[in-house]
Order: sequence, then structure tokens, then C-alpha cells
Amino acid sequence: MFSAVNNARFAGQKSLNSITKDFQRGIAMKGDVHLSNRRVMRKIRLGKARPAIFYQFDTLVELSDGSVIKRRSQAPRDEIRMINDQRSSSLWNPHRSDLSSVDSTATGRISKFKQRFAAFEADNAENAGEAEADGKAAKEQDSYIELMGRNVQEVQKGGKIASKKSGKKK
Amino acid sequence: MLSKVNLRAYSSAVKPSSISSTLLLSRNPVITADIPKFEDQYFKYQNELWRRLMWTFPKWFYYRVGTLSEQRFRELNKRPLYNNPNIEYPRGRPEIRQERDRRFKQEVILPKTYEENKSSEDEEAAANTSMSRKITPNSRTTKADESGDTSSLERKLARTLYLVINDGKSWKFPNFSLQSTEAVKPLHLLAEEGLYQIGGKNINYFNVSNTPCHLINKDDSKEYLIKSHILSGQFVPQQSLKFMWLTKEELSEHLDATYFKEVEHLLNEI
Amino acid sequence: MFQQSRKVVIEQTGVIRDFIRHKRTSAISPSTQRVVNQLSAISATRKQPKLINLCNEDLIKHRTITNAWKLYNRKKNEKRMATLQKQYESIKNAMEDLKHTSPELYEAANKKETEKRFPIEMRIPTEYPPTKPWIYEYTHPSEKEK
Repeated sequence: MFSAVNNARFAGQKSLNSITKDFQRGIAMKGDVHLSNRRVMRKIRLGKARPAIFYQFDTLVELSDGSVIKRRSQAPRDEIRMINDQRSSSLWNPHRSDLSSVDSTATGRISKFKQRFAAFEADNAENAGEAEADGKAAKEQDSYIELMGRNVQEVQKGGKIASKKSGKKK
Repeated sequence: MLSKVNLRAYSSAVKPSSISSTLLLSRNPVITADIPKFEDQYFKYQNELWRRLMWTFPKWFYYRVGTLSEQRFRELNKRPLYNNPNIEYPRGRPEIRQERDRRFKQEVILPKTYEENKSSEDEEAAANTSMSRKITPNSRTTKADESGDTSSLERKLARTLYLVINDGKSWKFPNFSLQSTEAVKPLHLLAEEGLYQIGGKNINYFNVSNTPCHLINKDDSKEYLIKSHILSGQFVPQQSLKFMWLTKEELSEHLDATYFKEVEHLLNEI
Repeated sequence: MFQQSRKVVIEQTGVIRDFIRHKRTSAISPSTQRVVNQLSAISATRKQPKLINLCNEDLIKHRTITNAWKLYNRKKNEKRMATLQKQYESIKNAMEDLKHTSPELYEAANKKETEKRFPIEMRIPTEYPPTKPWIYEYTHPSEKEK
């Protein structure tokens, strides 16, 4: 009996599977969020309104040249250190030659990835060249009107085409 | 038309050599101004009020329950006394909402990214390697302040400094007069060339405007003042010239009293 | 029977579901839970502290402090406006004089500076100074060429 009910319930097996997977990933789906009616904003009576003052931390921010700024922030961090910023960027210091531009990804995952797969980079460049060549070929195919001869005119379908657009097509 | 003629006649009466341009070269403050006592006290008072009125920190939003960081946070921030109905509280019953006594301000201690209570040697060793080391701000007073070096650009970081030179007689702002032989040169270019001549070319500076900001009228000469800021580089005297970088108060001591009164309103107080 | 049915469910859905004896406490989906969490962080419910209820003496103290601050600020502003006015007057005076003294210089001083940009190297003051408070390395472009 029970199993029969279950069978009936889970008749659409595949779709249900995908939904549960989405639940596991924590992806909000359309029509998936159901807020109860309790969460409707309560009416604030006249004179009873109070400002929203969120909790704030006093944060010290150290810039790349060693100077320190104090700021307030809602995020729970009380010390932030900048690796790359205005003070070390050559864009902001055009007259300085003593800047050692620290790569912000030097210790990150991207640089590790690059180190590991450095051998493929040259290969990639070649591939890119090929892709470009392909693109060129496609363009040549597109401009088939030129191949057809000199006095060919494009057949105009539908209404009037704006002069700018027709110029582009030729 | 008539006025134009008049103008010309008037202009030719003034000798070009009597015109000079004076440079007010300033070094802008590097650090924020020292706060006066009254302001400091007021800010402290306001800050305390602000902290008292802050909402409870939404811990569950930043620290997920069951994670290591949440545990570290929980170890640092103990729960407040709960409202035990069997106990008499002389200072009033605690009102606990979301682990906070809503009668008082909430103080949240954050877990640090570095290890605390380490010996100083270890810290020094780790200082240059670790990105998550503790932030230790530099002192607001520099070596130049301690030694009283008035020619240094690193002194009095919280104040605006002005360049004054001594030509043997008295201290004054660098002044350059228009030579009668050369063609008429705009005032700011005159000041620039003069500055490069006495201070070397390696000064990166920003001229605020071509327009003079003040005129000092004497019987036989006219001094136009040009404002500019030094951005980097330094003033290296080319001839045996004495120079100083001074704040407004120090200028009042070194400059001639009447001269200082003339330019007083042009100088920054911070 | 029950065991069997459970097995069937697992086979059919491919997801292991915990069957709890008592009533489920939270019946909302994870995505709803997330939205609720986010809303709770920005809503005032149960997060607002008690209103500050000052006694009369404290209220008078507070008002005195606020008045003193207002007075202080007003004086500061007046002083600032007076200096600005003075500075403006002295610019105007200098330009008026320059017009008569040397029309050529007046022309040059009044010329529009279209190419000029605000210096990108100028910095806002920070609370604590950098490790090197001043940048001494600068070579003028004309010096570099040599």
C-alpha cells in the first residue's frame, strides 16, 4: 500500500532527481522560495521609527606602502592588508621607477595552475592562431555577394531597410 | 577704444623689472590632522552613543553553525548572564535577545588571522614573510621631528609645510623678478624657472593655477604670489642657499611681521 | 513493509532520506532557508537595543554637549568662510592690478588651461604614515634624456 503511494508520488522520477540535486547544490529556483505570511513588514507607527544602525567593526587597513587607514565596516574583519593598490600601482605613480609590482595572483590558485600547465601555453597560442584563420575563412564565406559578381544587387525582403544597415551589409 | 589706449599708456609706465613672482611651494599633509582635545572628546562621546545604539551582530550570517571559524568565534565571545527567574539582579534584569543583553552595547571580539601571545623574535621572523601578520602602524612622529631637522620634507607630517629661503639677509618665500631684457614671461613660468634654478630640476610639483593668488604692493615693486604643491622629489639648493620647510606658526616666527600679516590668510592652518 | 518501502524510495529517487519518528521541525526548503537567513541579517527583529532613556540631569548634559559642539562648529565655519572671502578678494585684487600693470601677463594668467590635469600622484592623508614618508626619487623628464 505504502509503496504503491510512493510509486504514484515519484512517477516523474527524472525531474524529481534534478530538483533534489539542485537542493543539494543550494541553488534557489524560481518559485522555490516560500516565505510565510508572518514576514510581512509590520506597520511602524508615527514617531516610532528608529534608524537602522548595523553593527560595525573598527577596521585597520594597511596599504601596500605601509600607511594605515582606520575605517568602520560591517564585515567581521578588523585588519585588512592590501597587496596591490594605488600606492604601489605604476599607473598611479608614473614617475616612480623603484616600484616592485607584486603580482596579486602570485600566491593564488591561478598562478599555481599556470605554473603547472605552463607547457600548454605555447600550444594554446598556436590553437588561437588556427582559430583566427578559421574566423577569416568564415568571413570570406559570408561575403558571398562579392563572389557572385560585380553587378549583383541584394534582394530586399520586407520593408525599407535603413540606409545605415544596408551600408553595413554591403 | 579710448580705454585700450589708456591701458597701454598705463602699462608702459610700469617697468617690467619691477614685476616679480613669488612661489608659495607647499608640502601637503601626509597624515590626517591632529584632532583638538574638544573634538576628540566629542567624537568619543558620539562613538559610545553609536555603539550603544548598534543592532546585534548577526553572527549566524557571517559564521555558519558547525564550522571551525564559528567555534573560534564562540570561544572568544562568551554568552552574557541569562535571566534567571530565581535570582535577584540589583542592576536590573538582563534582557537577552540573540545572545546579547539589549540594555548595553555589544562588544564583539574577532578571531585573529595571526597567532597571538608570541615572543617578539618569532614575530620579527614572521614579519616579512607572512601576509597575515599583525598590523603595526608606523609612528606619527618621524626621525626628522625628533632631531628638529627643519630642512627635511618628512617633518610634521600632519601639517602643511611651506618652503622659505634665506638669501643672507632674511627669511622669505622664493622670489623671482622679471628681467628687463627678456620677453615678458607668464608669472607661473617665471616662478617655475626660478625654482629650478635655485632648487634643482628634480622637483615634481603641481602648479595650482596660472592666476596669481595675491599681490604685495611696495613703492617700486609688485610681487605676485603663485601657489603650488610639491608631490615628490626634493629641493636641493644649487648655490649656497639656506632653506627650510615650515608650518604656519613657525613662519610667523621667521618671517618679517608685516610681511607675514600680508600673506597670513593664504597659508593653511592644518 | 516499511523497510521495503524505504528501499523503494531510495531506489527510485537515488537520494537517501532520513526518516525521523517525530514531526519535522523545519519544513522549509534550503533555498527558502537561505533567503530567510539573509533577510534576518538586515531586519530589525530582535536585534534592536533598548532605547536610551536619559534622566533629566543626563539630558541636560547631553544638550549642553551638543550646543557646545554646534557653537564650536559655527565659529570654525565662520573663520573658514572669512579666510575664503579674504583669499578671493586678494585674487581679485591681484588680477585687477595685473590688468593695468601688464596686459600681456594678465592675458597669460587668464588663459584657459585645457591640457592640465589634476596630479595623479597626489595622495589623501592617512591615519598613520607610510614606511617611507616621502618619495625622493624623481627625475625631471628633461634630465632623464641626458
